[in-house]
Amino acid sequence: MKKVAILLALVIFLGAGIGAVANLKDNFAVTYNAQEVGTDAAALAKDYEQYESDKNPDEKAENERNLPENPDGIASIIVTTNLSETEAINDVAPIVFDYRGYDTMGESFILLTAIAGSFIILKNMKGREEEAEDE
Amino acid sequence: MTNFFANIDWLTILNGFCILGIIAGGILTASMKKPLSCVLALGGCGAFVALEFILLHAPDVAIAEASVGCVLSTILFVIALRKATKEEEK
Amino acid sequence: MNNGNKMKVRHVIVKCGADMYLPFAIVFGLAVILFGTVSPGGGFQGGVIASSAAILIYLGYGFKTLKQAINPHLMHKGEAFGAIAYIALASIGLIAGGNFVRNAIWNNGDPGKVISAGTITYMSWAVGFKVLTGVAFLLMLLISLLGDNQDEM
Repeated sequence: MKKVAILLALVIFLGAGIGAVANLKDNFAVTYNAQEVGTDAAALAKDYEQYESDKNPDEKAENERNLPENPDGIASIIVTTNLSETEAINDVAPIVFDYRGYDTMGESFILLTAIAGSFIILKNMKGREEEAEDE
Repeated sequence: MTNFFANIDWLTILNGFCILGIIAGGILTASMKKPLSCVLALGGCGAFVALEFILLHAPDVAIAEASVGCVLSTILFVIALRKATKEEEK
Repeated sequence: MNNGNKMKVRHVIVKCGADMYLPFAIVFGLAVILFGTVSPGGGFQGGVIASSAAILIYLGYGFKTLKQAINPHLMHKGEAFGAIAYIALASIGLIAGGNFVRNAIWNNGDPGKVISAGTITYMSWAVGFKVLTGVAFLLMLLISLLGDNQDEM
């Protein structure tokens, strides 16, 4: 029963992987496209002082004061494209579960590994204590 | 100097209060003699850090800090301390 | 001491405090998990808040009652189930032709509702269930080190 379940899961994952490769061959899915928003993330990362100094100082001061209305920089990518891409109105949830889903997976598996390891060690320790009390 | 005092509002005072609480919690954690007092001071420091996160408009991090750093780690430290003191008494 | 069925209650103040905060902890933690996509919070924070119910039961009633109330082996299996659920929900994006954790069925419902953001909502619930059961199991494991006959808190 267990072997059949493991085999079935492996077949499903293998099939999903083959299907994904066949899909990705034609159109590679990007998570976000920064240049459509208006902020050139590549130019911003290359030389941010030059990118900031291109702007009008009045507009820059206004942007710094009212950040949520007209955000610029890396934050604007998430704030402006978040609702159209994921429909989650809380901005942090798509970052944790969509844009950085691998991070969340590793974080939760760290917890699983830690609990399994402490379970094994502490179980042995408790058994040894009882043995010592018997002696 | 007058300009500095003219710009002070209640948010600045609250920020300064939180930062002073964090610093005081850290110093108390390092300088207390009893281990239980150190653990409780660490919990107080975590509570002030959570308040400061709320003032900086990050409620997600504030909830995580208040639940993990202020409650769970304090409970785990207290359990470890009880276990250690009981083995010392034996 | 000899009658094992009777609940051991030492301090009435601690018991009343545990009784008072137990419903708030469970309901607030579950609410933070359920409304993870529309309000601050999420799976991890809500799970940790809800799993503090285990420590409240221990403070009020002792370890025997905690072991009667919460089955530790069920908690351990529930954590593995949460991990498998997260992987399965994340691989929906693979089947739909995107990245591994891509949001596949994102256009269901209106933005602002609880079930609106596709797989993000379900992944948040899976992580919340995993953290709830995992941290509750970890707390029970650490409390059991203190010994069954020493619950004079």
